Amino acid sequence: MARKIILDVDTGSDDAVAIMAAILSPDIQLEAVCSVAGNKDIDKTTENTLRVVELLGAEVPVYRGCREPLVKFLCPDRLEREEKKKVVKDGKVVEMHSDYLDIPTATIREQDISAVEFYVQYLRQAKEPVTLVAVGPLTNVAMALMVDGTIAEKIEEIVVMGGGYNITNVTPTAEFNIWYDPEAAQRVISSGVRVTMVPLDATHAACITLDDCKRFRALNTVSGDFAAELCEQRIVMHNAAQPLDVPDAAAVHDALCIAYLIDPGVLKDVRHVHCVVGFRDFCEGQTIVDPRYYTEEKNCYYAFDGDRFKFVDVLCDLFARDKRKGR
Amino acid sequence: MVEGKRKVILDVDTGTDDATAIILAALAPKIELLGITTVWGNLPLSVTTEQTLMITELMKKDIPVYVGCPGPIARGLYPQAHKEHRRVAVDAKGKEYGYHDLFQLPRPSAQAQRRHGVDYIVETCRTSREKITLVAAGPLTNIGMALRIAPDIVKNIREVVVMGGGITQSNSTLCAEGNIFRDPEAAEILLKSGAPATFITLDATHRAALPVEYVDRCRGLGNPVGDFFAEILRQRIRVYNALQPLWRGDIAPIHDALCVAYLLDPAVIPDMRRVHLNVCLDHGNGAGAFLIDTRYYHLKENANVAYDGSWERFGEVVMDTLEKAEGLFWKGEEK
Repeated sequence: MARKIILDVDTGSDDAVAIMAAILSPDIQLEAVCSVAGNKDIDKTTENTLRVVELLGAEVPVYRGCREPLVKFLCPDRLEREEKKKVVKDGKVVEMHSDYLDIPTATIREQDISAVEFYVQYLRQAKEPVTLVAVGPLTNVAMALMVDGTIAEKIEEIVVMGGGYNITNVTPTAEFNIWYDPEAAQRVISSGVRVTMVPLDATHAACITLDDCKRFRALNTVSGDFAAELCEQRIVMHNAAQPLDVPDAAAVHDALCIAYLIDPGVLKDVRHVHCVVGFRDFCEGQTIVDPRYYTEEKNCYYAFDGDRFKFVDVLCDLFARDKRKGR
Repeated sequence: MVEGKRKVILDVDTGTDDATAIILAALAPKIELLGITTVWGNLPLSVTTEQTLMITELMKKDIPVYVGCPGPIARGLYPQAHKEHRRVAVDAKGKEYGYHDLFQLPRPSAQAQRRHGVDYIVETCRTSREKITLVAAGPLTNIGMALRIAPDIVKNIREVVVMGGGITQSNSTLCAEGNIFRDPEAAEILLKSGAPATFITLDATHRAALPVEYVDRCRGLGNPVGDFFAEILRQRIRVYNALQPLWRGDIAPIHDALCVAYLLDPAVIPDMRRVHLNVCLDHGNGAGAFLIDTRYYHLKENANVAYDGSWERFGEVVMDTLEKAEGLFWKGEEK
C-alpha cells in the first residue's frame, strides 16, 4: 500500500525534483504539498510549487505556508546571511534557485486555508498515520505541532532535509533550512515524533553527476528533462561555489528525502542520536549531535552518509514512469 | 598626602564632556587628582588620549595620563553584536557636527606615561594609604579589567562614580546609554565586584543640563579655561538642539562633569537611591539596558543610582570651581 505523505517545500530547484519524484512514485500517496518561505519568499515558493504540480498534471492540493520564521526575524542579534558571490556562466548570472522555475506560470491556485490550518485539520481527522517530508525551513510543521500537540500521534515519521555534521553551507557551522528557522527545527526534533534527519553529509555523498543527468534526459519524459535541467544548473553552482568530492556533481538534497521513502538504502550510516540546534552566535542553526557515550536522550535518526548509485537509480525509475513525453 | 582631599583617578574617553570633567577635577581644591586613565569610547583610544593631554596642558597641570584599553572586554568577539548608529547634524553650509567634534587646541607636547592604564589603577589602589575614588566617564573597560586582574583592590576603593546608564532616559539605543552599551560586561563586573558603585545616569545628567546663559558666564571669567569650557557647552547645546532636544530647549548635559560635581557637592543629585542593579548582557534590543529590581522584596542593593539632577546646584558648582582657574592664561599672556 502506498505510504501517505505531506510534502513541505520552499521550491526551489531541488524541491522541484522532490515534488516530481513524490508525484510519480507508486509507493507514495502525496496528500498535499505545503509551501514555506526559505530559499525564496513565500509568494515565489508557492508559485513555483504550483508550477511543478501543474507541469506533471497532478491533482494534489497546494497550501500556502508561513512567510517568515517563528521568531528569528524579531531578534536584532541574529546573524545576517553573508552576501553570496555571484556565479556567471555564458554571461548570465546562475543561481542555485532561480526566483521562478523556468516552466509555464501556474494556472492552478493554492487552497483557501493556510498550510498550518491544513496540517491541523488533516491530521486531526486522519484515520491512518501520515509521514511528513519537510525539505524547507520547519516553520509550518513546528507551528502545527504548537497549535495542536495531539496531531503528533498521527504522524508516522517526519523526514527532514536539514542540518550538517561535517558539512555546512550557509555559515561555517550551519545548513540553510535549520539556520533559517532554528527554533522551529528544535521544536520538531524534540517533538517526540520519529524524526529522520537528512543532513548535508548524506545529500553531498548521494550527489547527482552530469552523467546521471544524461540518464534522466535519455528517458525522454517531461520530469526527466526538467530534473536534468535543474541538476545541471546546480552542478554549475557546485563547481563554482562548493565543489564536491565527485567531479561535475551536485547535491539534490530534497529529492533524497523522497528517495529514502522508496529505498531506505539511499541513506547510509543512520544513527540514533541526541541532536540540538544552536540558536545564536557562531553556532546559530548548527545541528549539534551529542558525541558522548553517555548521550542525552536520543531524539532523532541522523544520516551521516548517502549512496549516490542507489539514489540515481530510484530517480531514473520514477522519471521513467512519467507519461508525459519530452519537453 | 594632602589632608582632607579626596584621592581621585579619572577614567575618560575625551570627548567634549570628559574635558569638562577633567577641568573640574583638576581645579577643585577638595580633589587630589592622582592621574588620568584613557579608554576607548566616544572616539578611538589614540584620539581620546591625545585630547586628554590637550586638556592637561590647557590646565597647565602636571597630571600623569595613562593609556588604557582600546576596545570592550567581550562585545567585539560576538559576530552579531548590536551596532551603534552615531548620528551627526549638518549646519547651513553643509558641514557636519556631532557630540564629540575634535578640540581646536594646540597639539600636546607632553606624552602619556608608559605604564598601562589598567596597571596604574591596580597599583595605585593597592599601594595607596587612603582609599581611592575612581571616576569613570567612559565605558567601564579599564575598571572591569582592573577588578578582574586584582579583585583585592575593592577593599581600597572608596567609591566608583560612573557616568552611565539611565532609568527613563537613554541615548545609544532606545533603552541603553552609551558608556554602558559599549561595554556592558565591564559594568556587570563592577556590579558584582563588591566595590561601592554610584551611577550618575542620564536621568540625572539630562535634568542637570546647563542652559545657554552659562556659555556667557564661563566666557566672562576671562581666562582660557573658562573660554574653552564655554565653547564646549556652546557646541553641545547646538548639537542637542539639533539631534536630541531635551525637556527644554537651549540646554545641554555635560554628563561626565556631573560625576565630579557630585564629589564636590552631593546635592547636585537630589534623588539618589540604593537599588539592586543589573545590566542586560543580551545582544538584542535590550543590550546594555539598566535592569533595576523594583520589587518590594528586591535583591540586595549593590549600587547607588541617581534618579534626578539639579542644574541650579550643578551650575553653581561649575562656576565656583571654574573661578579657581584664575591665573591660568595662555603662555606669554599672563596679566
